[in-house]
Amino acid sequence: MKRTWYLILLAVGGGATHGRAIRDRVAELSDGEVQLWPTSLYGALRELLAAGYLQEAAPDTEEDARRRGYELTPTGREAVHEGTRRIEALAARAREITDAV
Amino acid sequence: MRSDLSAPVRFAIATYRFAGRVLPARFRKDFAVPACDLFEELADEAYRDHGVVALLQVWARCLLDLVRRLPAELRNDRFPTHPRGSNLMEDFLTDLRDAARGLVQRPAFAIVVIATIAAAVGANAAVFSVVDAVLLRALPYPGAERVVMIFNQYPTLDVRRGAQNPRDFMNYREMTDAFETIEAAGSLFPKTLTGRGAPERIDTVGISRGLLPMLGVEPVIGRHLSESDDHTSILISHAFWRDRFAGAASALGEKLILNETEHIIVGVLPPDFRLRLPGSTRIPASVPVWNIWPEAWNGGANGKWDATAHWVKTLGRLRPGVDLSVAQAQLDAVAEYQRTDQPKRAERDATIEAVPLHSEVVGEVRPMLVAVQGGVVALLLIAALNVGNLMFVRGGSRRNELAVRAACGGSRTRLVRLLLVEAAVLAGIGAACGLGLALIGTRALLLAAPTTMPMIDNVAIDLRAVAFTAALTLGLALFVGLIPAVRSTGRSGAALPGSDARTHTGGLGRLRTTLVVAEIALSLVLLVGGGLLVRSVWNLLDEDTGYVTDRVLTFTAATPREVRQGDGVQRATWQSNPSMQAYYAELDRVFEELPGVESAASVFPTPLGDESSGSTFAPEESPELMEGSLAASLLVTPGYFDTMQIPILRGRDLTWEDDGDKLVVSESLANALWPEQEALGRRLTVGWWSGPEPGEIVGVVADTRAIQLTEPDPPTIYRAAAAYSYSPQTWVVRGRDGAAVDPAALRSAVNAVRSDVPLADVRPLSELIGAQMTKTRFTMRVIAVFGGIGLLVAAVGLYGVLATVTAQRNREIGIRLAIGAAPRGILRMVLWQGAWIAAAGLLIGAGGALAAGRVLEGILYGVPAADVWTFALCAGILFAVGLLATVVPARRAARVDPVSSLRAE
Repeated sequence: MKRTWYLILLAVGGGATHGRAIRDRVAELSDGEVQLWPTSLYGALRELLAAGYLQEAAPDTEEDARRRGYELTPTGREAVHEGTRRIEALAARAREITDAV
Repeated sequence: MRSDLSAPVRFAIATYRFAGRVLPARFRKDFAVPACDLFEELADEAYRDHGVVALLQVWARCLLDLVRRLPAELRNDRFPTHPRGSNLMEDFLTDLRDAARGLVQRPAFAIVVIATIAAAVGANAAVFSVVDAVLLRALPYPGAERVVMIFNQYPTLDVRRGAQNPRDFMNYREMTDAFETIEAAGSLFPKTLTGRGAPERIDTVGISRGLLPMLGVEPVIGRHLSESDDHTSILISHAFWRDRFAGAASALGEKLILNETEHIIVGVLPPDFRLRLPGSTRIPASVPVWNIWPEAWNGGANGKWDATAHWVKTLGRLRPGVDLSVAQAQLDAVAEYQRTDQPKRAERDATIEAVPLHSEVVGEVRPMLVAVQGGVVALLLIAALNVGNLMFVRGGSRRNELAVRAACGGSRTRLVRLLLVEAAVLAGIGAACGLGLALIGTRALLLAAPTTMPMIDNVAIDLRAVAFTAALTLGLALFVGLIPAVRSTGRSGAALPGSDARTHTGGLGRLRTTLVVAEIALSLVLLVGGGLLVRSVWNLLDEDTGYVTDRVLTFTAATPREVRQGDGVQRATWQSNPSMQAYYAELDRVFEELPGVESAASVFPTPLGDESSGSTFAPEESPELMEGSLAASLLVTPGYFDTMQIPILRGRDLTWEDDGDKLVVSESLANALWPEQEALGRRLTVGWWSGPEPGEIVGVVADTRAIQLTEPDPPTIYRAAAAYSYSPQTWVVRGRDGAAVDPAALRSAVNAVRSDVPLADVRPLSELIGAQMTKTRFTMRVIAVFGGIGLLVAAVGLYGVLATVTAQRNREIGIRLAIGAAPRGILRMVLWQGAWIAAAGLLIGAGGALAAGRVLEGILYGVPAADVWTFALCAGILFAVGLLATVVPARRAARVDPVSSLRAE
């Protein structure tokens, strides 16, 4: 899975529901390394929606009704877990190798 | 958009939104609002927190992001629901395919359009490359725009570009402060190189020490000329170094024997260095040997200068920020000082003028290049009009196709885009071919260009010109080509097959007719320009020079120093030197003994050569007339008039016994001083290089054109060559009828007399005449070629218009024939139509040609810019070609079968 996708799923899973919040969260998670500018952000969101990882969320408040919100689908949740497991596996392997060096 | 945003943010949002339109419609439908909202938020924050630079960064990043993301989004949008929301890239590829298919189906159309664009692009790029290198590009010196030439002007003698006396040059240095530095070059001075194989003539030029540093030149090896150097220290050109010393560093310190004096090489100039001086200075861009002219630059306190000798060409570099007018004012003050405080000098009525070096260098060729550039622009317009015309024809014949497409739901933008792509493909291929043509064309121009054209070695193909021309041609083609598309898609169904599209051609026909009229008009302008130039060259070739020009060979042979110094006895300046007398007589004898040689004589300066020599003159009894009279003065040996076949009208030729106090004058001089009276036996005071001296007139000869072909010589004075010890002497040798003089025989004849005298510049006199008209000839050739292409292109245009207009009138013609019109009448009708178009074009073109003639006036010779015969002839040719182009469609119309033409409806 693309790194951007994983970061976005992570951000949405962590409670960010709107475009701007997702962008900020991704930037924070990646130490400012991944900056999602509008077209990339919404392009990625469109892809994630199409792939079934995300779905549009029902608006919570009146102000939110004007904006689009997103939440994880079960597939999306699965994908986040899968992504994290991979990173953990990589981290474990990395640790073994690093210790041996 | 929120209303509280500041203007820069609003602008950023607007542009971002506009750019966002490239994204597929489906994406935009779902995400345009949130994406723009996000952009707005980011932009606004950046601007508030960090100012406009941060805003620009965000803006640039977001646009870049959009571009990067575009391919992915386009891929994602593969199945458009509606053409309006279709994918740009996909559409473009489809259009490209369609366009290529369409062009392959009509190869004639494609080939004609591509050839026309290629010709226009090629010619334009080639000419512009030359114009750019010669006229537009700055001289290749640092601060070149501040370098000026300083001239003496003598209004009473009509001399505008006079050289200076060394004293003038020192005055400028002392009395002005507008210049960083003032430097100078002397005259081109040919010397004899000996001691390195066969004796050879080598050009040298004397300069002031600071001249090359002022022009930013650094020796590749060695050093500049310095204070401690005298005239025997030399710099050599890179080419000379490469040829004679194989580029070895050991050349430094080597000695060259020039005119029997040892010179030491102290430096080698860089390979790309060229001295760009105006042609009037007679100093070429590449000179092999450079040294310091000692008397000129060694202070001058000794006062050794001859105040009447003017051979210094002065250059200065203005201080940064100092205007030319300031320098000019200071020079005016110097001129005033020289008039009042140095009254003995020849500068009594001289003024001084500073001119930017670049404009002076290119000034001589500017009219020629402007004419050529004008010609190529006319050609470009003809080509553009013609391509537009062809596109129009094509658009017209595709109205049905376009109408069908429109009816099937093809949007107007889509159809327009199809035509745009088609035009772009044509222009692209045309421009590529044009670039090839430009490469060939530039080379051809360089071959044809006069060798005296400055900076011609600087020419490179200008890609901007290629792009500009292609864009212009394309732009016009599109403008015209799009009209049918817009028309046929404007009102849906209005132009469906079977509707009245075929019979109503008035509107389209009018526009196209206008285009052809313009093409013919421009062609006439080109043809008349070419015609006037052709006549100028004929006139020049026809011009009576006053002497024989065929079978005459010219060459130079130096006079060795020991011959010039002779027995060392001091003589009065007018007395001939016996050793020179003997030397000339000996050479004359050996030349005339050669088989095939009829007659030989020596002369300086060379007839029609680069140099000229002027002297003031007056009758001995009225010396005050010396001011304001300038004669050409020539040093000749006996037999010169016979060799050149210049008629001796009265009196006799000079003889070997005559000293410098015997003179032969031209008829115009005799008539000017003693109208209606006998000039023979009268005495004339002439200002020679050595000072004013009286002489007796022993002969009067006919006037000639020995300085410039285009003008009669000024009054001319001939004097015995042996009376002045000047080294480079030109020989003229006339061959017998039907016999060619062999240069090798001449060379061995000279060698038999003196083994250390090189023969140089061997060429027929006819070649010098050819050299006199290179500018006119060059312009003539180029304009004539353009005129020919223009004629062809205009004929194609006329044919195209009439062919399609007649074809579109098939039904009408069918009906006319059906109700009894004679085919002959139809033929006449179409011919008349063509004739009218041609006549209208010629009328307008005549006006244009009159205006263009003005531009050419400086290059024309012996033919008025509004020459009736040239106009009539060119108009006649154009009209005839135009009629020829209408004959085919006219005959086709006359052969229309009424039945089938009506059934076709």
